[in-house]
Amino acid sequence: MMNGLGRQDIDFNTIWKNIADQVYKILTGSQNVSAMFLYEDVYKLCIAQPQPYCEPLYENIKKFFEQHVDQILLIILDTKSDTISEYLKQWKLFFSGCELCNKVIFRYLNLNWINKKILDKKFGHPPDVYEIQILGLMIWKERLFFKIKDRVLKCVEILIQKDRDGELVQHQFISQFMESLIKLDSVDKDRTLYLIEYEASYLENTRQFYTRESVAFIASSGISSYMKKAETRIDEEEQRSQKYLNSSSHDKMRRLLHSILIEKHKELLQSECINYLKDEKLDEIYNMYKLLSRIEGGLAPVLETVQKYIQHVGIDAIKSIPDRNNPDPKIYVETLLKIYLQFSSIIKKSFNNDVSFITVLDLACHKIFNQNHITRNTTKSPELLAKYCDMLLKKGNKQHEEIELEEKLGQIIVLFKYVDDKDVFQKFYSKMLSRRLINGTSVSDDIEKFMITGLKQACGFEYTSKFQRMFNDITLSAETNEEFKNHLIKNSLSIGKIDFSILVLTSGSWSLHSQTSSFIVPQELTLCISAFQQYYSTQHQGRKLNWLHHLCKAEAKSFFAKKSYDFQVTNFQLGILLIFNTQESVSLEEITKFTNLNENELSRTLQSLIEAKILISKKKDQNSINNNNNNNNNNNNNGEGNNSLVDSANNMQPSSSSSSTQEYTVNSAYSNKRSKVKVSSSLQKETPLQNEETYKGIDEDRKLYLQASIVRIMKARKTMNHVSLIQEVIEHSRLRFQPNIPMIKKCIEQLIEKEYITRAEGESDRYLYAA
Amino acid sequence: MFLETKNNNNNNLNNKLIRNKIKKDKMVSQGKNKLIQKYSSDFSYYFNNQELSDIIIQVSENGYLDEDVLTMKPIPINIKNDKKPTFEEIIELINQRNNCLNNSNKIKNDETNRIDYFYTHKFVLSARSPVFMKMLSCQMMESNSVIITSHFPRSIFYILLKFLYSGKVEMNATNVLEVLAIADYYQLEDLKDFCGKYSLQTCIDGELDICRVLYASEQYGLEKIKQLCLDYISQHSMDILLSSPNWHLLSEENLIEILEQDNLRVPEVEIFDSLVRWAEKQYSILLDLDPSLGDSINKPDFLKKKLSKPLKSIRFASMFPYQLSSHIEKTNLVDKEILYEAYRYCAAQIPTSINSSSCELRQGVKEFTFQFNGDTNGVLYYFGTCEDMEDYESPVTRKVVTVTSSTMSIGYPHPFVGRQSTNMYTDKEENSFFCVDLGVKHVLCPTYYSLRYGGDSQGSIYAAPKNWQLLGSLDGQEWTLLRDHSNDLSLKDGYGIAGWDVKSIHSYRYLKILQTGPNQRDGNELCLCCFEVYGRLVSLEDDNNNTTCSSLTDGESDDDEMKNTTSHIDDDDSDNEDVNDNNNGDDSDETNNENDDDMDDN
Repeated sequence: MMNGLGRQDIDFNTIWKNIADQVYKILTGSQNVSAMFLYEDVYKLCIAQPQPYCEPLYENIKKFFEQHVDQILLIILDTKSDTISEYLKQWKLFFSGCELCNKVIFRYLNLNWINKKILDKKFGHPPDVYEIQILGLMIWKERLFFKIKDRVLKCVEILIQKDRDGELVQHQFISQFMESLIKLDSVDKDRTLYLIEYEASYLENTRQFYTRESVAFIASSGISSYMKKAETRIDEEEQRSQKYLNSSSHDKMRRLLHSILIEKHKELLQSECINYLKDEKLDEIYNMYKLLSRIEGGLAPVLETVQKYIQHVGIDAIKSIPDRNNPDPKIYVETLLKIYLQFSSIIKKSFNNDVSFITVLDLACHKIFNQNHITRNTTKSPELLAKYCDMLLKKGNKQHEEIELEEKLGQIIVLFKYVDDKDVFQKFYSKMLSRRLINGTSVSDDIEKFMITGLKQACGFEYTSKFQRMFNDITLSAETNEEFKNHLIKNSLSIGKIDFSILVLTSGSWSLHSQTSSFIVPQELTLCISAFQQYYSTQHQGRKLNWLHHLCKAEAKSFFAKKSYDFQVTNFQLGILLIFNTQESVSLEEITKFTNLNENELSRTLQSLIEAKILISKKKDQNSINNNNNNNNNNNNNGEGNNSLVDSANNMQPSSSSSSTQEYTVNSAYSNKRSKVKVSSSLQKETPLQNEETYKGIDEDRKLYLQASIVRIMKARKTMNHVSLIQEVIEHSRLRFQPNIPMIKKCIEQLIEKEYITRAEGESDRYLYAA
Repeated sequence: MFLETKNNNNNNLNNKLIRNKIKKDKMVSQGKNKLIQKYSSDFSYYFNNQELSDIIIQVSENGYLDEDVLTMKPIPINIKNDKKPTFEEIIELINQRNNCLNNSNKIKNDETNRIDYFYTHKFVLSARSPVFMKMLSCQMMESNSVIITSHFPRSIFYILLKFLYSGKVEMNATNVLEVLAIADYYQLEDLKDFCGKYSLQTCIDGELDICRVLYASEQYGLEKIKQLCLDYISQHSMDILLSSPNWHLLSEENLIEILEQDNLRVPEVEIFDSLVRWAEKQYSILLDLDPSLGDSINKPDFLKKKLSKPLKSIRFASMFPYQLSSHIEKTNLVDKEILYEAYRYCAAQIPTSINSSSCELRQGVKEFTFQFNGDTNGVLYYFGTCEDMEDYESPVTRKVVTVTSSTMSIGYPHPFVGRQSTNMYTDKEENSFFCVDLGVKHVLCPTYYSLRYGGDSQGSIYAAPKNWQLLGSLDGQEWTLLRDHSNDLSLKDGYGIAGWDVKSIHSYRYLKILQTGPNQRDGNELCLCCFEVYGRLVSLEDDNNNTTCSSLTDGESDDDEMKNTTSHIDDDDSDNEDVNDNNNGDDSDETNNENDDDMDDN
């Protein structure tokens, strides 16, 4: 009757003999053992009454293990040729047998007696009772392993040496031995077997082997081959560690290899860097990078070398650009771009796109772009970059497809990040963008927006806000024109047969030169301008319109030659040409009276028309007779549909005024292959004077910016000394431009005059916020 | 989603069809239930089912005898022609082997030890029991075997297997400890905990002895249950210490732990008696194991050795000197040094060194000391004032004490415990008596009692008793003589009062005044009133913070708790009935309807 509360007649010795026989079979690898009956026997001993036999059972198990392990020791010692193989075989049998005993047969003893004994022990006292598996491992360690430790470790050492020499060895022997040490260590908190007996020896052998090998290899094969060899060896040892070392030792092994194979030779590796760069040996650079990146601080000298090399190459390339004082923007920018792409490619391929090397490239390019011999003490780089952008973005530049354009503009934005004086770029770009938008010469609105988006990402929204507003004005102007036409139709107003279009531009957003003279609008346009002005004032009260006639252009159809031509001219040119609708020839004084242009502007305009051969200039003689020719002249200069024929014979009157006056007349013999003729305008050419004006504008903007910064800083600090103030102003404006100290001092003086700040009494170098 | 919906529809359709059949036939075959059972969340469907079964467990009705164990080995059956044998073939082979063994060993295959087989599944056994998992998955014989043997009785193993497959368990007071044993064997912690709680509840219901549960909880490592048992014994210690048939199962450590309890509500002499009973029981068991030991082991020596340690927990110095001299010393089991210390303390209050708490009274013990006849220091006055908290009222009126008597001639017996002189007497019968019942919650070791003559000076003169006895009893059946009065003329005048000391060894619930001869007028009527008693009163229940009236209320609450417990047990039965009807949650409504129908049918 299996009843725990009943009386059990137990013969301990008989049951123990049965248990011992079965456990011996388990420890020797037999499969023909019944677990249930053994478990039941142990159970009966543990619950026997009146006194359980737990303690005698435990003592007997202990003695049994000791005897069994002693027998195994004798077997191993008798094996003379293959100690490690026999040791591992016996270890495997013993360990799996212990595991079965622990988990199955003596499970009840573990749970109900041994655990209680362990818990009953006072804290801090070493226990004298262990779980069955731990007991078995302890006995194995103390009575077997410690006695043959040196012999077994020596065998394992020899196996590892053979493996490194490329011989065929039994890998599992080494890994199984390592695992057995870890299992034996699990019964002891010190873990001395693995760490001291195995790991330390393994690492020391590794150190000796590779120290010897690396020195010999460099001497015989050179540094380039050594780099490949070292990489191969590191990979090999990584795999070997996975097999032969516990995961807790992998980092130690890795550090050891890096120390021997890389650290000791790093000066030699680093000194080869410059040679590889010059010869563009990308593979060698990559190998060197891989090795040196494994150790701490290994790449620092390489970074320095690469930076110096890039700067050297870049500055040399720019020196070869012709015409230092006025270089071609395309050549200049593409040279910079070529340098950037070249080294960007090297860093990507050979330095694995390492962030440190990307930083080095940034620093070097920054230096090249801002301190080369072309930009010496000037801000030429941003100016040339802006001009190159204008070349790409202008219509008529058919060298590139749209996708290609986007790629090039993207590259320009990369270069843009390296520019110091970004405000100079902004100024020039804004001016050229104004011209493109007003004249409608952009390649594409999408491309323009693409460029502005790139600049925004580089410098932030505030930097491109003006550009955005310029585009906004163009869009709104289109809507305004549409509404104006509807207004004319609705109110049955007429502005003649002229197709009239207006651009309304916000003041302050556009880099435009103001009109230098008061231009009298031709009579044909007055009606249009009045109508729009009246319409616009009803739509937006309080707004004031300023007309920029020097930026206007017109298209006029002419009928004075053998065939009609369409002339594209500026407003000034149009004003002059319209005079000839009513007069055959005009003098300079008459043109001045009609257009009110100043002498300089008038001279330039007339010159462009004469150069285009539309007008002819001649001196009038007293004896010249042109009566017959005038009769044949068809002088219709009006718009479409108007044919006002003038019979000049009736108006002919001999002039008795001064004989030296210049007279201008249309060229009736004018001929051109094309029916559409674009009359070039000197306004479309950049003049050195205007360039200087742009730079003056930049300086003015910088002063305003600096003054605003100073006021902002002083308002926050209330009081500050001279040096700190200059330092902080430089810090504030660094992102836009590099200010020079005289300019800052001048701004400070101006603010003192305006009484925004004052000098502290008695301290000449301290300022106080006054406003 | 479409497939899932379709499956659900099929499921519902099939369930409806099957339920209709169930309602019509009230019985369905196992195969037709297959679709329902497959959706169950437990493995009840596979309980003792050959489908997917991969191992057979062999059991017998009473468990094998030890002699059979060596010959009953698991059989690894050789597979021929790569064909797995059917279960019928396996069972036939086993029967053949058993017949051979029976013949060779001359073992009768009685009907009372019938062999039975359970079809089981390794994955269920391994998932539920760590012992099965290790046995069936290690490199031992069982992992390659198709049949294994268990040596627990069939009925117990059935309960275990039901638990493994369904999580439900069916137990009663007679088999709970056996189920606990098998749960401990197969290391099913949940089942062990449940058995422990169930057995404790069974003790409270009075169906199981607390000492057996304490013994089992210690053996199987149920620490919480063990502590609860010890607490229960401390709270209900009078009955357990004096009458538990398994009192001997306590280990010495547990016994000492109980005796050390300050709130052990048992008179000290009775504690000593129970300790002696414990040791004597151990001796008798030893003789049962080996009768020849009686020649080599002397009983007194055995008892002395057995009791040497626990006796240190007895508070001898708190006993009366006459208890020590006439009862304790007579057993000759206590060291004289301990006794001399106790005597010295009783005489001169010299502190004891062997047991520092020896002179202290335990909780629940209240001493009443006589001052003069008619004082307010008596036990009955104490009851009448609700333990000194209210104005006096007759304890009979307060329903704390009950008074019975032989036939009364004049009046009722209640004034016997009153404080007002009352003219009352029994009929003229021999052995007339008055009996006082102190109730189930109190026992008293009397040291003094007083009586008043029940006749006034004019009507009943000379009828005072002169021959009577004071008797004590625990159960109202067996009486112990406490004091014998022969020709005692202390009561003489009308309503005269007198008192006498009592040297009682034990404590009693019942006290009786029994007339043993004619009164002073040679009549047989017993004319007494105003009985009062002094001594040590022990409260058998923990009511220190409650009045006697509150105690009554607590009793009622206990009854309610018992009812709730019974209701809970019924719920468990309902859960067991639902095992075969478990379905997916989607069918909960239909399941409930089905249950309602079943209830209606019942």
